[in-house]
Amino acid sequence: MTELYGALLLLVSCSMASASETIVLKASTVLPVTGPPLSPGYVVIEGDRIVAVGALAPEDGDVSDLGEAWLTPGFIDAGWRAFGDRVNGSGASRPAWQWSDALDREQKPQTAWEGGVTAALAVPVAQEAIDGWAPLVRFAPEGLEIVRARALLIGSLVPALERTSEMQSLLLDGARAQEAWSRYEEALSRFRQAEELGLASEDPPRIPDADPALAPLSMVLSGELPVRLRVEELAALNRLIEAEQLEGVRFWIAGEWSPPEAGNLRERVVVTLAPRTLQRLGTTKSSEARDWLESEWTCVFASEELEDPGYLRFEAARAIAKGAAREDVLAALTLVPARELGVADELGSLSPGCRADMVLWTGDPFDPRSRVSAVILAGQLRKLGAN
Amino acid sequence: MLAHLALVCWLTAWPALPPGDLRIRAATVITLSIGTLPKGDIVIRDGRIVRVTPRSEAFAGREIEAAGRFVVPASCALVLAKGLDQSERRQRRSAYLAAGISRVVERRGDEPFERLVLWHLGEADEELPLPIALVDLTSSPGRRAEALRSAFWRGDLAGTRGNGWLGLTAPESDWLAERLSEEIRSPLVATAHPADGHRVPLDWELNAHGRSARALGAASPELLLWRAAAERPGAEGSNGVMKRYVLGPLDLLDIEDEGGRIEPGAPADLAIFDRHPLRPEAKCLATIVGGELAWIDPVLEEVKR
Repeated sequence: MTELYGALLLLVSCSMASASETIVLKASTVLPVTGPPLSPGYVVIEGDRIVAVGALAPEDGDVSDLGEAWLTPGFIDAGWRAFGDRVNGSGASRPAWQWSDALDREQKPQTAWEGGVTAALAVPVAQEAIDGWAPLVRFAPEGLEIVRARALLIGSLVPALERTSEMQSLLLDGARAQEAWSRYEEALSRFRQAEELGLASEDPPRIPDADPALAPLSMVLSGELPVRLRVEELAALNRLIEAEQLEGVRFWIAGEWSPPEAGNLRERVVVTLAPRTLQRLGTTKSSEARDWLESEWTCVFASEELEDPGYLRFEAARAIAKGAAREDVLAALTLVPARELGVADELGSLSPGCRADMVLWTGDPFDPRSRVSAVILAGQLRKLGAN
Repeated sequence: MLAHLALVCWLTAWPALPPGDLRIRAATVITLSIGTLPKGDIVIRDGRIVRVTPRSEAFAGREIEAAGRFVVPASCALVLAKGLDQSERRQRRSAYLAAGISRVVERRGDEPFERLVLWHLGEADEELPLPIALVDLTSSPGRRAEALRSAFWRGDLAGTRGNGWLGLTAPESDWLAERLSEEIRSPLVATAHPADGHRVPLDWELNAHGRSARALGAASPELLLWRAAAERPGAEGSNGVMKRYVLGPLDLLDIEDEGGRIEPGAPADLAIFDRHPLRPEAKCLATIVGGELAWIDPVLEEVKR
């Protein structure tokens, strides 16, 4: 096994020297997520990208045989409390828009890697109707790397129903701000052109009153970016979803109840499956991951207040033990969050074109006896532990 | 092979008894005391196991059809998550039962030192105070250690003097735990680190007297079984791992308990799993506490005759 890693390491190092170098990995099982499991499977990497995945060895290139290893895409933690208490309960009168500024970028990625997690949506504890933007981060060897500073909007409908109207008006303010600022920019550029030609007959356009920080909210209104809400009462969510002006908005919800009647709302809602911590166990409200995965809702896994992305694998295996389909569980850890965050062409599967962010397991990732033996990040191998 | 033969002889030699209240039929029985019976019936009466037999016999009572399932003694969990009020405990009860747990050792009381209690999840839950103090040195260790020291010498912890204390430590307070145990000269039960060095520990690894056990933090109770299954490849063949899972905390804390085995006379605290409990994807299907079905998954049928 050691020699294999040696060979792999050598190949990977070569690839760093020359980006066109091709690496072919053979694993006893490859779970590409976008297709059926391959046993054995081959993954071809060029530079930091996957160029091919298949059940047959490619004609060119030396094959690095990983033996009994299983290969999966890196898992995505869809709700990682990276911020702890530092930004909670700040009592700020307006949202702290860029949470990413508060990230401790030098955090060691080891724990996440050991759980097979290579990317996470870093979320604060939502206190207000709108709390700001959550970044999507990657667990790079040197620390956290921001993939997207504005991956989704964070908010809360807990506890009062009044929050729904507060949220609605903030989003609409955002749309107005966006409109005001684009009108201003247009007017300004017309003014500049006229000025250059010496034709300016009026005063320069006035800077709009609208808060520029609100402007990106229009992306939420147009459905480009989702809102992640903590919800206690389904009535609040339903009221918000049914609000006329919010018809394009996509929601991620984190809550503590069992699947409700799906209705026609499910197409716009992603359910964040936070682990059932002991605090919630056994209540009638507690949600069982299996129930959600078997429902028609879109589901993603999140480590939430446990702050340990490594815990996802246990929760996922637990859902499988309780009857959820393996492929649904695997997708909820990988492709589904990537797709819902609009990064499926980069992360979340072993498909040609995706970044080579992969995890090498000693066996089936949902078997408690399996371990992560190495991660491959952007084509570079990182060995873990003594095995 | 010989052991197995002896087991069968021993089981079949047990004198015939009048019919019991409940029978678990045709399951693989992991007795944890006398080996594993590939296919056997367990008859329960008055809260105790009265018969374990490989032979199918006439039976008139209620019955659980468990062919292809695995029966193990229900386990005892040590739970070190803090701050439980009465209603939270009630809520957790069903989660423990759904994970095949019939007894729980939990923290009670206030800082700086708490007591441990053994909680039996029967029809009428029983609580037994244990003569062991718990000291959480994970935050402000100095202050807590001082409080423990003075309480100990004042005699507030008299009941625990003979048995020692369980200290929860962070790596940086290890030295303190060591010094305390020297100073107080009470047998140190164990010190524990959160398994992953995390702020909100999911679980804890405990070590004392060369024995080890796992305690639950903020995670679902199934995490204990998951960790046991992860201990080593092929663990399903090993009674040691299973025994440590079922009785580890009691063993570590030197608490006498007559459960943890399936044989005539033992209390009928049992868990039925869909496959060997240490297999991946194993799922608890029913938990029997004191001879009563405390929890059952709908896939398992209870046949009433």
